[in-house]
Amino acid sequence: MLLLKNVVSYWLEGIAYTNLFLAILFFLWKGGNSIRYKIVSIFLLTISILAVSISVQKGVSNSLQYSLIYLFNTFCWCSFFYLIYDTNLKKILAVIIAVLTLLYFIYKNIVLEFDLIFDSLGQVISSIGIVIFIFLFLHQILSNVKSDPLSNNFDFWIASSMLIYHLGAFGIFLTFNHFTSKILDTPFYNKENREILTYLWGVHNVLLFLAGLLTLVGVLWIVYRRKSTSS
Amino acid sequence: MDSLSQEVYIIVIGCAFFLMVATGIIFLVLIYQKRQLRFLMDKQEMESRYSEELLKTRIETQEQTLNTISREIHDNIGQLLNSSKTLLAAHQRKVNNTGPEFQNAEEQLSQAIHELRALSRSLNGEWLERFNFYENLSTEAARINAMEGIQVKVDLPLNIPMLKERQLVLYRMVQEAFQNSLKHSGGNMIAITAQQNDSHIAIRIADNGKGFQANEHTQGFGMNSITQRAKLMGGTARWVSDNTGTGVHIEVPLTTS
Repeated sequence: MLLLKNVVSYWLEGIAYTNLFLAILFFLWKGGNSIRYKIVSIFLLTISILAVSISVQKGVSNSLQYSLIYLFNTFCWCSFFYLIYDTNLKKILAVIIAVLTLLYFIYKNIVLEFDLIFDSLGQVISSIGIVIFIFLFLHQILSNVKSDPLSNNFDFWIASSMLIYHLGAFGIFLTFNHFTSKILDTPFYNKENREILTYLWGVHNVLLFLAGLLTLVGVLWIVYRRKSTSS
Repeated sequence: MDSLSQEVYIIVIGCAFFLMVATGIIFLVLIYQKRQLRFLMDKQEMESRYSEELLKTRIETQEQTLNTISREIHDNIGQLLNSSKTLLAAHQRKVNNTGPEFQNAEEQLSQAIHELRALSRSLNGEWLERFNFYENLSTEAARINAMEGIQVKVDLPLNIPMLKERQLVLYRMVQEAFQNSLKHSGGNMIAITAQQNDSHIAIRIADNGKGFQANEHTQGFGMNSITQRAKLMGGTARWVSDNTGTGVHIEVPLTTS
């Protein structure tokens, strides 16, 4: 039970990002030879390393790593969807969102004094941005309906898994800073309250893992479909 | 439950709600895309059915026009020539010695009547439907051969398992190809051959003329007419041309319905 708790609360984030990275790599290996997957895989590798480094280190503030993760996440999905969008308006919007996130990151972590507590606002800006990218993408696929079913579209699988993660974990991103501040301020700073927060982050990790799993299922499904069509 | 646990509990419920919303959005997109796809396919099918109907009507109208022209040739010009021939015969009976010019004129008039009748028949769909594809083509080949200057060789199966109406459409395509060769090729030979299997018949009409550049004639009326008719029959028509001649390849299914 303790092992499961440790895995879910501390290790699952790194596992989930690595899973996501491997799913994209597998798709690339199986012929999804597009520049956007290569870019995404590079960003995901970086994020996976950051997430694993967070799991390893104990007793040190990890807010900078998390800030870097949201920043890389935004850049990763901005470049991915930028290469998919078919209109300039959508491309410009994606760039604006990425620039705004970068400006916030610089302001928060460089201009202002470095904060040791999790940056909820930064995560929220990043998540909203990524959800906007996904909605713009969904709008695009619904306006240009193609004869190929959506289940054969790997971009749709990625967008769906990211939507599940970012929309599902939105509440956690929004309130995590508040909860951390609360337990730090209280004179009753205790193990129980810290555990509650750890469990909450565990929920986030499960959502991220689900997203990675969905992406992997997508790759396997597409590869299976391709094989059964060709045979 | 203390206040922190309560708040976290609410957030977890909120997460579950948002997770459901995200899943709902994905399913809505999937369903919407499926419906949209079905709608587009229905629309496409309707459009193709409409254009097929339009094509059928156009070809029927063409057929009716050819019938009218055929009847006009037979009933008016044919009758006029026949009565002229009768008058000439009456004149010949009156005047015993009419001379070689008169004989010549009478022979030419007889030939004109004969060719006009053949032309009238080759245009008349109702007449053509009495015979099969091979018989009609042989008659048309004989008519063209009688013109001199160009020879048509027919090497076809005697019978094609195809409805008479479809055989007529096929005949019209070959007739159109003959006309194109006669008008544009400048050659002196047209050969028509066929290959048949269980489901399709492939007909090749080849001349030994000067050929043409494929993109130069793609919009021509004759070629367009052949393509449209082949499409209507569920088949294809394509042209192969170089400076040694032109070949028209027509392939249509042998459906009897």
